[in-house]
Amino acid sequence: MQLYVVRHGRTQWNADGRLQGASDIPLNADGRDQIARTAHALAPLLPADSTVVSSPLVRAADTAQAIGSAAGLDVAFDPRFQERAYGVWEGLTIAEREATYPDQMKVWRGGGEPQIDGYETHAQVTARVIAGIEEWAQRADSTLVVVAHGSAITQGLHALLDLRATPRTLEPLDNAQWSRLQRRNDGRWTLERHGIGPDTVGDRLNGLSSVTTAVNS
Amino acid sequence: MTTIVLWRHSRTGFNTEGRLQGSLDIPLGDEGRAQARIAGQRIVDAWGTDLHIVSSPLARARDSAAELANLAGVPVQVDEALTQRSYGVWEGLTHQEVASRWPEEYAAKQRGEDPQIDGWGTSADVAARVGQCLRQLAKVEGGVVVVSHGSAIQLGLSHVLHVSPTQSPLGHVPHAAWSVVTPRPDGPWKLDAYGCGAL
Repeated sequence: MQLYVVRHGRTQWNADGRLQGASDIPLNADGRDQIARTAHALAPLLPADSTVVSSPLVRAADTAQAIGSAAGLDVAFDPRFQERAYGVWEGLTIAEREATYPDQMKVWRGGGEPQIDGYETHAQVTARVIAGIEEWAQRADSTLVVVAHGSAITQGLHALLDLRATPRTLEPLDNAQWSRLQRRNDGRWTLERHGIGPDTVGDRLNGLSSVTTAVNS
Repeated sequence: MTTIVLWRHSRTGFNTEGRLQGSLDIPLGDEGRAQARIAGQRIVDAWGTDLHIVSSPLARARDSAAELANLAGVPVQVDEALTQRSYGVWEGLTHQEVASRWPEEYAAKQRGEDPQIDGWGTSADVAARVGQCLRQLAKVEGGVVVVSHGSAIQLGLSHVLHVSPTQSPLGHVPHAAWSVVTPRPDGPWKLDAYGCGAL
């Protein structure tokens, strides 16, 4: 079973450095361009029996639809893949947060959890993302594609791979990038690809990745 | 801040035949050199030509490094610490041959454990050797490209990411693929990308 985890394309709030969280901000022109390129690069890698499931927030849903259309796959939705809720911080830039919540920003920058209204904790986000992945992985055939958000993905990947999250071991995905995990017979997940985008994926035509025995030598 | 690119050598004839190489010194052929040129160009596109290239002493790595060095117009340093793990008595055999003659030990290796065979380079030893080399390279300013081998890269990364070398979550690295890591002064390093340039 292989799992692709894709972060949505860019929105205006991403470009402006505003925290989105549960706010439903659409893709901007850049983002629409990005998802077209990502869909074009990712679709050929997806087997016909792949399952695509997305956060229902429009920035993820549109990203998932682009992938689904390119690959000829339907898209399902699951609210467990939504972004972490940031409550009163949503819509604010880093500078605005530093100005209005200096103590909580200090905690957050140190890897701690801020005490602010409406904030969803690491544990809460991790639990729902993992539950969603486990359930969809049971239902999927060879390949599951989950389209989600920066913080939700970071929490999910660190938990699935049993990696230390504070400080983060994995760099968060950029807009429209993906990672790929493999689940082995013993149920453990391995990281096969991380931080991949249209510019860093291989190309069958250029000889970088022809079929080979999957072994180290 | 230094970023370290870890680049696996390109495919050799032994790789294509499914033969374990380990410490055996098999050079690249035309196909492998072409693969290295394509991947090397993408590395230059991403990081420019101001690269500090350090290679394993084995020919398949040095030949790959030479293609990148040629594109960037810089020399190649060689460091023994980046050599591949030894596969002992399995070297030169195909995977099928090993699996049929040593089924339990082969299964152990596939699980990420160290098989009990003569001459096997253990995960802990290789992880420490490559990890120490990476920590030294963290002191170099600018873009560092390490040219090495699949196991050596996985194990070296496990060392700097603070994961167990025999329980590592890092998967197989395809030929000519690269990964990117950012050193941190304390605690585990940060893995920025893994398996770039592969499908």
